[in-house]
Amino acid sequence: MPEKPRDYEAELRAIMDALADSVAEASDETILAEAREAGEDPGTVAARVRSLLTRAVTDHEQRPLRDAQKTYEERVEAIRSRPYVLPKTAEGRRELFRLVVQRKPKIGSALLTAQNREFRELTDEDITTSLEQLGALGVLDEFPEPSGNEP
Amino acid sequence: MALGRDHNDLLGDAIADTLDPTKRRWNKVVTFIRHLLGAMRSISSHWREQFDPDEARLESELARPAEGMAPLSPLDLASSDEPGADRIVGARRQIEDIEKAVADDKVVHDILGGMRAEMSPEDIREALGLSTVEYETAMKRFRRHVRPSADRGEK
Repeated sequence: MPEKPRDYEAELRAIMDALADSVAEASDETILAEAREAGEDPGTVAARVRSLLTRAVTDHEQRPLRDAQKTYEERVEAIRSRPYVLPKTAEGRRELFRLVVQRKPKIGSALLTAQNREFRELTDEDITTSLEQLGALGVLDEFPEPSGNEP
Repeated sequence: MALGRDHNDLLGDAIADTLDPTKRRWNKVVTFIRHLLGAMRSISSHWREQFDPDEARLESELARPAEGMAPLSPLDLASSDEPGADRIVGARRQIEDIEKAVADDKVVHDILGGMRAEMSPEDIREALGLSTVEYETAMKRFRRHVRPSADRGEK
């Protein structure tokens, strides 16, 4: 029967684990003495480790901010990549918006503030932004997309 | 060590995981050092599982023959379909460095043999007939022997 090949990785892991254990078991004095003997300055090593720990803590604390930013970017991208095509003209967009408010009064009341309830004070930018948001939410899916002869 | 990551990343990940209670909890029964040790072992094991042996490497990064040995290239081993051939070469190289470093210290060399066989410190002591003090003294010498070679290596 052929001899089983040596598992170098397992051997090295076992050696390193044993060495790490021996360091963990050693007294602080022993570790400090060994570091000095090896020409290392324990103060410098401690500062390096402290900096590493601080960085890890900072990264951890900033993670919610990074996650929020990522979520925001994904949402913006989702809105941008939504396939719904808005009417090309301001009149067409205003007409579509009017249709949405008419057929979806709950959404309409959420979008319109009291002073803009008549649409007249809504700018085309307001309407376009609202329609883009409605498109991203899928609300516009049930409205026909504008054809070449758009509304 | 996995490509592009070193012991600092390992320690950083262990701390980061410890700060996230959904990932890793520090059981206060053990010391924080022991906890970090366990976390780092677990993370490095995870890295190993994720390691892609097909990731491009330069052969010059990998091949380094031991003294008196024919050059061994991972490309030679790759034909055997052995996964992570470069890792095996790296591990073998490090073991050879350690063996060389302790070759003149019989007690330490014997302890190394026990470690490779994954024996516990107690079993090694018993097998070699060493007292606790003798074993710990030998381990100090062991660490002193391997420290310079470890600094040159990947650890």
